[in-house]
Amino acid sequence: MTLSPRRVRLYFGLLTAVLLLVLVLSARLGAMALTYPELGGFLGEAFGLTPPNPDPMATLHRGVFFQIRLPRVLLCACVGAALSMSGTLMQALFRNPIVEPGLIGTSAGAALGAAIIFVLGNSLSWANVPVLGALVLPAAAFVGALAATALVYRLSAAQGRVTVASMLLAGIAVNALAAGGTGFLSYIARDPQARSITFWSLGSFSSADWPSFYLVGLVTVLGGLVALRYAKSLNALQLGETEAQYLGIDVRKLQNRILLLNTLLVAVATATVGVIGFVGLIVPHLLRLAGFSDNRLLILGSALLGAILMIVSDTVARTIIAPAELPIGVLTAFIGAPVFLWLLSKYRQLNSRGGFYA
Amino acid sequence: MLTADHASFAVPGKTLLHDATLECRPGEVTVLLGPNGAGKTTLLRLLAGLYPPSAGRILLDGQDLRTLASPELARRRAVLSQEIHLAFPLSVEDVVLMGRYPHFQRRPTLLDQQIGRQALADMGMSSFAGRDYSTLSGGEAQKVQMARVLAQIWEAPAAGSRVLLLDEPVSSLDIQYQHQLLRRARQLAREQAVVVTVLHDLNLALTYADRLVLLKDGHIHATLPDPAALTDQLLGEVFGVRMALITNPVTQKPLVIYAESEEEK
Repeated sequence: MTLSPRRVRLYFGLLTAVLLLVLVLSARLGAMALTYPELGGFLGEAFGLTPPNPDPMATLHRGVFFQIRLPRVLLCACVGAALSMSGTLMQALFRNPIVEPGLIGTSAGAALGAAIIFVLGNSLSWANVPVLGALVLPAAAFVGALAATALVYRLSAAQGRVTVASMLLAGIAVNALAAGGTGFLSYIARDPQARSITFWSLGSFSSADWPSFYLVGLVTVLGGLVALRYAKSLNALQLGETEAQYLGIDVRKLQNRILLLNTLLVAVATATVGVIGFVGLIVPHLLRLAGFSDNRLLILGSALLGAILMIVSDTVARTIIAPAELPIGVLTAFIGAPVFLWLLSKYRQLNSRGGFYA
Repeated sequence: MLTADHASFAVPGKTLLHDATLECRPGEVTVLLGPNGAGKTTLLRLLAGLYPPSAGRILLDGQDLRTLASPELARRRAVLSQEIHLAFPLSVEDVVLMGRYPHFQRRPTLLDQQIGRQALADMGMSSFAGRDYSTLSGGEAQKVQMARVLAQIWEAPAAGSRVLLLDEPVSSLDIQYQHQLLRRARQLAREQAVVVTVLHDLNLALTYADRLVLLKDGHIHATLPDPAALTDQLLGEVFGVRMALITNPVTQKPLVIYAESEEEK
């Protein structure tokens, strides 16, 4: 239930400490393992504290660390935070604990937008044309995500009022449509393109670089700050749309803003690393299990916990079958789906006792 | 003063409320009475400013509700709806503090917390402060929600009157708590708040009303500034059931009894 201020400090202290720990561990681990003294040396060089080590091996490791490892770990943190905050926002907005960012068509729309580029953009491929891909693909994914989300929103906004039930139904329909489109495109695609679509729809951080981190990082931080401003309104929304309105909240404006914010967070993350499911669903749940209920704390906590889980997942994904990489979406599904099923059964038990989500 | 000025409300294909004109005064408990579908809840929602009337106006102290910013309105007007369910677990304390949302920016102040506790105490629910709202019975939840709306309009505003609107507030409560809740509402009216409530129980209405409004088929059938002016005939017209008014032998107040005989059914 309500967390005491002491508990809140404890949890956030713990989350921050674990985040720093996994950041360091993940930066160290990989196909080429780095040592702690090396990491310390690189950081010292970066801040101009120590002179660069001229040893050729150190130069190679420095390259791995600064060009590959560090942007990747930081991008993981941002994507995890963005998807988890998005999950928290959607669950609060829909007043439904099993909503995830993909539910209202955002992810499927982004995937369709990307698939169109893969197939219709001649031999354009995200994997082997990095410069053009970096520009065209995120834009197409964003347009797709926005179009799908807007379509869901329009379909469910009958008579100027959005009801949750109609939005969920519209989400199912638009998801099916977008998935059908993506499936059709991968069916008519030539083999390498189809592989790209499949690869992308499973998610991967292997293309991580500094520009993608800057983009996702900026959107995540700004999105998080904006989300925090709506935390109180989202709390009030737990009483229902009518009661929130009686508390002076412009519910339609709130819905519009949150949906737009969600689209931005999910589309930018998805455009950069592909579709990664379940993180946005699981993270808010775990926090609720720990007693988080205030959306302000849920948003902050989900940013931290989402970052942690994404870094851990990616580290496992790129080390478990090294030097090959497991698509991270496969991993999050393998971990996330059982956890989700476990949560469902747990809630059912609690429900039958007349508590929790009853 | 909360006024409906020739207010109507229509949804596609049906007019739910026709040309309602009504004055709800500070210091008084106004009770809306009528059979199902008479337009009581519609009228209450219009008075609350949930949506604007399709025709006519709702005025609070002479100002059209449409021109009042909703946060400003929320600091003066609270509404108790029926059966509120939460999507996620929240403590009773947190639910009550939501009533203070229009008053604080980011975090509740000490005053907000004090008011929340006092409002909970007023409804006899202090010992429930740490409980999970979703584990409460319907009646307990209703009392917590009443505490929330009391907290919302705890202090009198600098100018103008406070408004408390209740939609069948006692339907899930035991008789003892029905009186507790309505006494608290009446006390608020005596502190110069406008109190309007929908009630189903005619005898509760007669006990607590300062002004009775009878609705039928989306029209205001009659407004009685003095509940004692209620007649058997009016009740029959509005509810379609024969009733008789007698004098309560203990309180000497009017009492409604059902007078439908077997043959008339």
